[in-house]
This record gives sequence, C-alpha cells and structure tokens, in this order.
Amino acid sequence: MTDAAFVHRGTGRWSFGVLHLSGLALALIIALGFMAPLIAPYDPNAVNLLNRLKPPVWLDGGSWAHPLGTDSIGRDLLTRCLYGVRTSFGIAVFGLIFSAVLGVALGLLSGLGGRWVDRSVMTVTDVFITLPNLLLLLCGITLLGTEIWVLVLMIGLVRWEAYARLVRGQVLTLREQGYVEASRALGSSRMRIALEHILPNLASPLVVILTLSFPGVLLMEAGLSFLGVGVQPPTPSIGRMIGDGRDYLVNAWWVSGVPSIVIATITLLFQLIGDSLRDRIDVRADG
Amino acid sequence: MLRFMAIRFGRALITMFMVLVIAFITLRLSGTPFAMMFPEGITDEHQAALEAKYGFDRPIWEQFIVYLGDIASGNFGRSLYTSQPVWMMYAVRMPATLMVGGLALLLAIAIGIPLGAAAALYRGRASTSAGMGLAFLGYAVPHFVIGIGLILFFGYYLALLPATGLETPNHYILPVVTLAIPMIAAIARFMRAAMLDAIGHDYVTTALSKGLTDRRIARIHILRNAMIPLITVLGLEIAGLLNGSIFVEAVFSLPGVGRVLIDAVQGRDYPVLQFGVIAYAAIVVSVNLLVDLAYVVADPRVRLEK
Amino acid sequence: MLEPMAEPILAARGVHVRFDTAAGPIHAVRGVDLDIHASETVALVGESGSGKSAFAKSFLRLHQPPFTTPRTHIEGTIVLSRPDGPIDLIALSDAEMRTARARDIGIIFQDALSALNPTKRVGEQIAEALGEASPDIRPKEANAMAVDILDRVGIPDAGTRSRAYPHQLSGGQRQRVMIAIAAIRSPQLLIADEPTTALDVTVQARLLRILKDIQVESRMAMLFITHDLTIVAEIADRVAVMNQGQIVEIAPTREIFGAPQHDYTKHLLASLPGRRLRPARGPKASRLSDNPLIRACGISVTFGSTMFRKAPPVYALKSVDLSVYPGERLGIVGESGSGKTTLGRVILGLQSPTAGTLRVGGRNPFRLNRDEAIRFRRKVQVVFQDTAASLDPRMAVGRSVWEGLDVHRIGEPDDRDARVRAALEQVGLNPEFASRFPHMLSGGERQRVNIARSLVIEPEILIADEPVSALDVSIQAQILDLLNALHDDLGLTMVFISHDLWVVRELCERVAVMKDGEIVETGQTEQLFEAPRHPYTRDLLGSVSSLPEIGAKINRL
Repeated sequence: MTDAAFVHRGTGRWSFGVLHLSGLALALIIALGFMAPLIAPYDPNAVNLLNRLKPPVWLDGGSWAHPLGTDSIGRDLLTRCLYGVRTSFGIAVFGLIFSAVLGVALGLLSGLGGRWVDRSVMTVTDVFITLPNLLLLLCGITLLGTEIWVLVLMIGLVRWEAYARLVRGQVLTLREQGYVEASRALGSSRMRIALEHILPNLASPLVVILTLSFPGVLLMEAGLSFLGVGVQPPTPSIGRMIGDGRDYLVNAWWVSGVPSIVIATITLLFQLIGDSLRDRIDVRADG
Repeated sequence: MLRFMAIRFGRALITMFMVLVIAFITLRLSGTPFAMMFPEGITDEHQAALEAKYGFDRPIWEQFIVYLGDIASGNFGRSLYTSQPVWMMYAVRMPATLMVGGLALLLAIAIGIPLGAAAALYRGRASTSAGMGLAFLGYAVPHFVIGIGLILFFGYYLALLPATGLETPNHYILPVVTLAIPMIAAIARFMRAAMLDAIGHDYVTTALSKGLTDRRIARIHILRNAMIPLITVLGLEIAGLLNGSIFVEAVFSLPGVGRVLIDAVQGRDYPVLQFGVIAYAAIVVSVNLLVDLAYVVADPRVRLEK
Repeated sequence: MLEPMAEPILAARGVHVRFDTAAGPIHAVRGVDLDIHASETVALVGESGSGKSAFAKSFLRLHQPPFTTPRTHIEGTIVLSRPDGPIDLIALSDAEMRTARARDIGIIFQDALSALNPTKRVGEQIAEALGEASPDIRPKEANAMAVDILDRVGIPDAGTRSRAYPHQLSGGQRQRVMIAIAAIRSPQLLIADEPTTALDVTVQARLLRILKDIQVESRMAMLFITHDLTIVAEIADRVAVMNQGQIVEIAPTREIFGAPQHDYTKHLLASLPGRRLRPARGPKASRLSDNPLIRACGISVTFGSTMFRKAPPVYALKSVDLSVYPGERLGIVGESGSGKTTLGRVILGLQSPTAGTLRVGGRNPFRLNRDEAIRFRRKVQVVFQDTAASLDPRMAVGRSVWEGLDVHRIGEPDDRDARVRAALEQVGLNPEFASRFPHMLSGGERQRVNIARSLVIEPEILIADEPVSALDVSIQAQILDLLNALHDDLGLTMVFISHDLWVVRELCERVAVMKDGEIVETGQTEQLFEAPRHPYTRDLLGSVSSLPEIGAKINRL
C-alpha cells in the first residue's frame, strides 16, 4: 500500500462524464464546420449593405434571417462562423500533423541514433524552444506571405520541438526498459524494436500531448489572423472576424463577440478533453 | 555548478548565433531593398552601383560578417519607410510594454501562487474549487478574447474603466488584468500540481512523524519544494509575456512595441522586424539564463553538483 | 534473553485498518493484538501485502500524508504507557497525536533518500524533530544536539556532515540520519520499517549494530518490521509473524526458529535460501580439461571520459578475467556498484568492453557480421530482476515468448504457437497464460514468462541478473527450484548474478566475488563459503548469518 495512492490527480471523479460530453460537443462543432457549404444559410462573402450590423436574434432588432446577426458589411455571422471554424480547423489539423510527423521523426532519430545525431538534434531543438513561436511565425510570414500553406508550414515548423522532446524522452526511457533489453538480447533488429516495442508504447502519451496542444495551434492561427497577418480576407477566419469587429465594440459587440464565444468554446472543450486524458495517462515531456 | 552554468551559457550563445543567422537569412531572402526604395524602377547600372555600395555583390559569408559587425557596433539599420533608426522606433515604445508586462507579472505571481497552493492544500472547498475553475477558463481562453470580454463588460456595459490607451493609471487596469489572467491560470495550475506532488512524497510523512503541525509541514516541507519547479514555469511565462503583450497591445490600442512589430510584418519592413526578432530573442535567452541561475540558488541538488 | 516485564509499554488490541480505494475497500489489518515491553525488540515479519507496515503506521496514524481526504479507518485500541499515565493512540485528538509523535514514538522508513527532504540540510531536519518535542530548547542547542547524535550514529566529521544535503550522503549515511531523527527525542518506542532492506549487506550489518546500540543506550523498545528472517535472528527478542492482516504466530525468537508452530511460519522458514542447504549438484562440467564456454580476459569498461571532458575514467569493470565451463552454474556475487551487472551485459554482447577480449563459444561477440550476431543471440539469453519491466506492457505474454521464435525463424509459423504453449508449460504455467497481459500476472508468474521467453529459443547459456531479488521469499524458492530443474533437464550453462550470498550458495557450483569492478576471489562454492581467502569475501560473509549460525547465536542467548 503506497501513500501516493491517496493523492488524487486532478479531476478523476467526474472526468468520465466530462470527457464524453465535451467530446460529443466538439465533434458536433467540427462536423457543422466541415458541412458549412451544405448547411450555411448564406454565401460567406455575400455583402448586403442594407443589412449591416444586424444584432443576433435574441436582441432587440434581431431576426431569424440572421440568427447570430451580421457584420459591418452585412455578411451573415452564422455562415461566417461555420466557414471560419472550417478554415481554422483545417489549418490547425494540417499544421499539427506536419509538426507531429516532423517531431516524431526527429525524436526517434535523436533517441535511437548515435550520440552525435542526438546532440545535434537536441541543440536545434533547444534553440527552437528558446525562440518565441510568434516571432518565428512573423519572420516566416513576412518572407513567404500569408497563403494558407505558409501558415500550415510555419505552424508545423514552430511546434515540432515539443513532440521531438517528448518522443526522445520516451525513447530514452523505453530503451532502458527490460523488455527492450530482452528483445535486443533475443537478437531483434533496431527496426523491429522501434516498430514493435517503442512506437506502440509511445502512442498514448503522444495522443495526449497532441490533444493538449491542439488548442494552442488553433489559437496560433486565430491570433495571427486577429493581428491581421494570418488568413487574409475574404477567406472567413474566426480570428480575423474578432479582429475586424474591434472597431464596432461600442455599438455592435456581437461582430467580435460571437466569434469570440465560438473560439472560446472550442478551446475550452479541447482543454477539458486534454485534461481528463492527461489525468488517465501520466505524460512527462522531459526524459 | 560552474560547469552547469558554463554549459547553459554556451547554449545561450549558440541560440543567439542561430537567431542572428535566421534574422540575416530573412533579411537577405527578402531581396535587395531597392525595389522598395525605388518603386518606379531603376536601371541595371544604377542597381549594380548601389549593390556595390551596400556590399550586396560580395560573397554571402562576407556579408554575414559585415552584418555581425554592424550589430556588434549597435548599427541595426533604418526603417525602409521612415528611415528612422530601428532601435529608436522600439525605444520610444518600450516603456509602455515594460510597464504593462511588469505589472501583469507581479499580479500573476501575487495571485497565482497562493491560489494554486490553497487549491492543493484545501481540496474540495468551494472557494478553492471556484478559483481553480476560473483558472481553468483563463488557461483555455486566448488573450484577445479575454481582452474583448473585459472591454465589453467593464468598459462599455458597466462603463467603469477606460478601454483604450494608457493615459491615466486607470487605463492600466484592463490591459494588465488581461495579460495577467492566463499567467495566473498557468501558475496556479502548475503550483497546485507541484504541491500535490510534494504532498505525496515520503519526506512529508517523515515530517508528520516528527510531530510537526500541518502549518509547518505545508510551509517548510511542501511549499518550499513545490516552488523550485515553479521557477521554470515563471521563466516560460516571462517569455510568454512577449507574445501576450502583442495581442494585448492590439486589443487595447496601446502605444507599445507590439504595434511596431506587426506594422513591420504587414509592410515587410525587414530591418524593423529583424531588430524585433533579435531583441526579443536576447530577452528570452537572458531570462532562461536567469532561470538556470535561480535553479542553482534554489536547489541544492543542482548547486552542489560538481 | 530479556524477561518480559508485567506491564507492556504498548498494548495493541483488536486493531483493524481499512483503506478506501477506487477499487473498493482494502482490509489491510484484521484484528491484531500485540504487546511490546520496555527495552524489548519485537520483530514483525511478513511478506509484502501482509499488513505489517499498515499496522505499525497506525501507532502514529501515518497512513496518509496531511492535506488529503481521510481514507483510512482504524479500529481497536493501542494503549501507550507514558510516565504521566496511559493513552490510547487511536483515540487521541490531532493535537495530542502530534505530541505523541514528537515525544513518545520515533519511526524509521525503508527508503531514506525519499524520506528526507532533498532541499534541507540534514542537521536542520534532525534539529526540527527535537524542536517540536521540546519547544524550550534554543536553536543553537538543538543544532549542537543534532551534531552530537550524528556522531553517535557513526557519521564521521558530524559537524560538517550536518550541513550536507541528503543527496550528498551515501545510502547508509542517509539511513543513519533517519535513525538520528527518530532517536534524538529518546522516544519510548522506535519503529523501524524495513530500515535496511535497500542497502548492501555490509552496510546493513553496520547499520543494525548502530540501531541496536542506540536502542540500548536510550533504553527504547523497538518494533522492527522486515521481510528478512535472517536479520530477525540478529536483533529480535520476540518475533511476530504476520500474514494477510493477522499475526499468525508470536513467540521468542529461538522458538520461532527452533520450533515453529504455525504452517505459515514453517513455510517461510523453509523458503529461506540457505536453510535448504542442499549442496549444488556435482560439478559435472567444471572439469578443467574442458574448454571454457565463456572466456573473458582483461575485460574493462570505463565511463565518464568524453571528448569535452578529460575526467579520470570511472571503471565499471577493471581488467576482469573469468571462465565459465559448459554445463556449469557460476554465481557472481557483489554489492551494488560492484560491476556484476555490467559484466553480465558484456557477456550478453549488450555492452562492449573498452579493453580486453571476450570469447563466447570460441567467438568474439563484438566482431560478428549480422547473421553471425543473430546466431550468437540464440546462444546466450538473459533473465532480469525487474519482472514487470522485462515484459512489454502492450503485448500478450504469449507474443513476447513468440518474438524470439520469429526473430530466429525457429519452426514453421504454424507450430510456433504450440512451441510457445510448450515453453509456458515447461516453466510451470498454464498455456492459457499466453493470451494474458503482464499486469494481470503476479511477479513470480511474470518471471516464469521471462524464463520461458529466454528458453524457447533453446540457448546454451542463461544469464540470470538478480532474477529473484524482487520477489517474496516463498516465490523466490519456487523460481530457484525452477531454475535448478531447468539446469538439470536442459544442461544449461548458467551465470547467476546476485547480491544474495545464500541464493548463490544454493544454486551455484562456483562463485566469483566482485568488488569495485574487480573479481577479488573465485572458487568452488563450498570452499569459498567455508574458507574465504580475500578480506572482502570474509567481510561479506560476516555480514549475513546462515541458519546454522543463527541457531548457534540463539543457543548462546
């Protein structure tokens, strides 16, 4: 009987319900976003100057024609939010995949390669960890422009180091495990050990850390767009909508407010899922 | 210990060198500035003359050395638009950024540490649960959403506080709070986890077996050990302040350095951007060194290593 | 032998301890009665999970750290006789309990490294215990007393060492600090919860002596908790044997060893390595005319020197010569850090030596091409100490056993399953186990799987690195029997690495003793145990007692 068993980790008691509820809610939002062209009531870029700054339906002057109101040039906010979710998720998902592939590959290389490989990869990783992400992003965008592929590429390039560190740390731990030693003693090749024993045991911490870092990636795109250096108009983006609505905060709060609520909801849901996943699987990023 | 610091210092130097390389490449890849300087076009001869004058015809490594020399002597170049020395553009806006950032950091430490510690020691109490719930919100929601929420509620709905600019002390309240909230959340969450970790250690049971009071155990044995890993988090948060201040300055239209940087990106004003990158990186690298030093002071296991 | 006085200083009656856990309540202690008299040492013996620690911790209500939701329920009475009248420890208020902890009972834990606060100087940690017991002592005096007691527990240069942090001390010194913390208040009762289990035998012996001295000097009673019966004989007046939350037998030490009453006690004693002194079977293979199967000449392994740092190299192995003959069982004995594990890894071909030559079956395992390397792997197999870590948690154990067959392409793919099942049967497991996962198995079962995995590819040499050290004694005996049987049936050559002299004595014909990376003595087991030549071997042997010696000791009492 160890005393540590009495120390509760976070939110174990209620995480079952929370995990599943937030998963469902998130799946719904994502599904709506990806079905935007099918279900959105308007064209996202349809300008209607007669209908500028209409409030949402629950406020005075709102109507079901535009349930979440309209922006400064009369575009339907519901439609634009749906499309915006689509854009943001698309960029975040591809950025995350790119960074995860990069990070896992470099982490494996570092953990399983020789000492010099390890040392060089880790030096580069340290430098990337030190540099503020936003600055790298700004440099890349200044150079390459604000095409969507640039955003994906840059997000991938600034996020990989966390995964590389995680994978390397895990590999170094796993490599010392008796079962890896035993497998080596059996005569298994490096490849076999990597595929049979190391990768499968890496999977769950990796899933947790990817889930945990997804909101960060999403917010990276949203933040850049908010600052006006991310997704460019007229492509709908949640961040850009919030940024553009700042000028109307006094008399039409919903232009910024509605997309703000959308992105806050999404990141909160992700955080809930990530937290309860982490409570189940203990993840440490350092080896 | 000296070896430890020497390694860290070496790593900091490597990092700064890499930053300079990145900044230089950004500057060079962006092409010669002549297209920007002469929108109506220039003759090839004129261009060649200018290239020779600015040294663009020399090999790339030679240019890099000249560039390093320039930076070492404090010559960071001028804005392509205003021709102002770039360091001056930042210098005039630095005080606002430092003031807001510094206040936010103090606020975050003053609230985050006690909140996290209380949440670990008094689990299950309504007040601490509520505090951690709020911390959770603050952790998940980005600066610009928090800022807009605060402006709408305190600035317009209650009309209590000014929403933009930095004219009076009252003007500082909303931006500082906005910048502090995610930090409070991060510090409190980390502190709580570190305290829980410390509580589970055997040395706490040893302390209990000595007949110490809960208060003393919490103060001497739990809190002190939980504070050591917090140093790293504080370092990360200080580095994160730079990111956050860009957003907060945008939301509240503050006269800080963030605007300079964003304008430089939008206008492709490379010398301005480049200075921002180098300066920010220098700050982050120094903070990391300070964190390492703090570790050496705080943790005897590091301090006494040979 | 001490005559128990009429009035015990501590009387436990009907103690029950229950824990609420996520998996349901655990009833760890089920109605225990125990008396401890002044100056008496009572040993509480049991295997892991017997509830011995949970019982002892209920004296001070230490089951849970502070600031956690209460999940422990203690019933019964534990009456402590204090000069100012008896108190029931279980019924005390929190404040009264604190006083009892500070003044009346001291406790020592197994793992001193984690039981000491890493960021406080050890002197402060000792003085802190004193401060709470007697608030009128000034800090300066408290520090002086801390230095004094450090000196008494045998820490050299106590004044300087009191300013050290725990990580700067050795394992033995840290445990001395723990003793100092518990003893500085001169409590009436000292609880020692497996205080020497994590330590090397020579350190263990010195520590026990100090503990005994301190106990006599301060006239404390002691409750000594251990799973190790050999220690018990050295220090206990009476022994209580605990199994599944209950004390099954309690008697004076000599009676426990001489005439155990309860079946469980008999079983424990029978499992003791060394009691089953059957001489390791005829060394049919150690004829010197045979060519050695493993021949190591001048093997050295160094660490520490890198391109950037010209440090004096740290020797893990220093010019080791060793031969192992076909069919022989060789024991390699040494304390932690002696290099015995490194030597095993070198023979396995997992660690290349920095100097020296190694021949296994006539070949150098570090000069092989890929095919030869794989063939070499089939010859030499290994079983490790940590049974849980040795099996991939995500693989059904059958698949772990199957892996070797696949690597070496042994048998047709179809009949590999049958081979896996046969291998599991061979190590005494139901073939059904093939589909189970490691966490569903007990430590002993996992070690059987590990053995099956190694043997399924039919190696010539099996290297067993502390294969039973992590197991309870009764399981240890079973695994040792299994290894014995496998050796006899398969004619395996075995290299058996252990810190436990008795385990080696039981299993091996020949022994090599290692210290600081060198082999200091080799010889036939009986010879070496009867007449050790090297002073270190003598020291090592003197640190532990065999059962015959225990018998002699008890008779002297």
